[in-house]
Amino acid sequence: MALKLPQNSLLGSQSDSQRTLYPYVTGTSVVALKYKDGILMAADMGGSYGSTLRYKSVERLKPIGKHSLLGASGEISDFQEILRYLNEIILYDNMWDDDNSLGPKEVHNYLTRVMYNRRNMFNPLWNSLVLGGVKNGNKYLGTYDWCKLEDNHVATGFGNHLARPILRQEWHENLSFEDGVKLLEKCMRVLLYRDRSAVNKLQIAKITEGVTIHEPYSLKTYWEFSTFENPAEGAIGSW
Amino acid sequence: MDLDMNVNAPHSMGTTIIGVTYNGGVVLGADSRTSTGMYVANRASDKITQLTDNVYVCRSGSAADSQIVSDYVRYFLHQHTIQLGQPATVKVAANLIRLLSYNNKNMLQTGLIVGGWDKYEGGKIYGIPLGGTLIEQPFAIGGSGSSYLYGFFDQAWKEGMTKEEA
Repeated sequence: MALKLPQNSLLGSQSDSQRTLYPYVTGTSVVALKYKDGILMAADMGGSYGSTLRYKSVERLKPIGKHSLLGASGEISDFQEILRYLNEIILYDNMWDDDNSLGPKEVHNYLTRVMYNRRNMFNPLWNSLVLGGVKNGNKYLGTYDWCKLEDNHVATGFGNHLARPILRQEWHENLSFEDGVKLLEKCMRVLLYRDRSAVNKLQIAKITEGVTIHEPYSLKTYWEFSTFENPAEGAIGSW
Repeated sequence: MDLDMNVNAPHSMGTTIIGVTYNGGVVLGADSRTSTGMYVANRASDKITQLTDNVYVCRSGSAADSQIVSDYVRYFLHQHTIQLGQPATVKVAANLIRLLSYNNKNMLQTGLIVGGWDKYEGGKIYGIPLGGTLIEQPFAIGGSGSSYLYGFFDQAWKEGMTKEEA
């Protein structure tokens, strides 16, 4: 259903065996956690082109329907394609006009199926996804990174190695909004220090019964190391 | 060796292309060299190609790929203009390029910058790098020569320039 390209169209043919071999423009980690009133998700706005940070205003968090928020890392063109597929099902859902709407569980399941089917055809969508949402008071947070997982806090890519340990220690039920943001910022700061493809321009999104994506901002970083103070001092023998 | 200039290498365009928005529209720029390995195949190529009266595209990467993509998109836009009854918007042109780039990403090797003006959004620049990502930007640079320009643009770019400044 998602791969409705007409056969032999100039705009792309289904018949030749296509495969995405490697990603070109990529986004780095996405981190998300459940808090008292809903979900908080953060991602920076960088789009890397190999090792160069080519784009610095890429929005990697997007609202889906009324209840969900999707964050993606990996190939940005594939993320844009996923957004198109999702817009289509959300549109069809709205057209039913039946007072029911696709919630985060449903969207996550749909995404999982799409990603898995593409993988089976050796033509994957090169993304790791985080899907969070709140419907009828129920919070949902899940991820798809070659398999579908659901948890109280999730991350993609480098975030799994750097942010999850912090979250495992410091996350608890009933985090307030401020504490949740502080915790996310702590994770994002570590990622900024240690992830080569991170940029210091991040967006945080909040989902309660509606979705709000805040304006991009920068984190303060610490560089006041004593060895930098008098750089010439130990120059000959320092490391 | 120096003498072994690979004249049968695929024509690629060691290119620099630039698109900049200003307060009345857009300005596009490009160099004119097409190289085949070490040999300059064409020193007077025109890398800024017209798609419609109001939308142009800067081409970089494989010369053949970018030319064929431009030709197809010009054809589609021509039909679209007739059906729509008014000039196509820059966004439509950019999205057509994106569709071709994304759906054929395994075979194409071309980075494009689409720039133009329409009455709804004014001057707009869209960058479409390898892979088929569509990214709207106030200015865009591309091609292998663009690496030298990232720093310059980061420092020199500002909003709301006049045409001369741009």
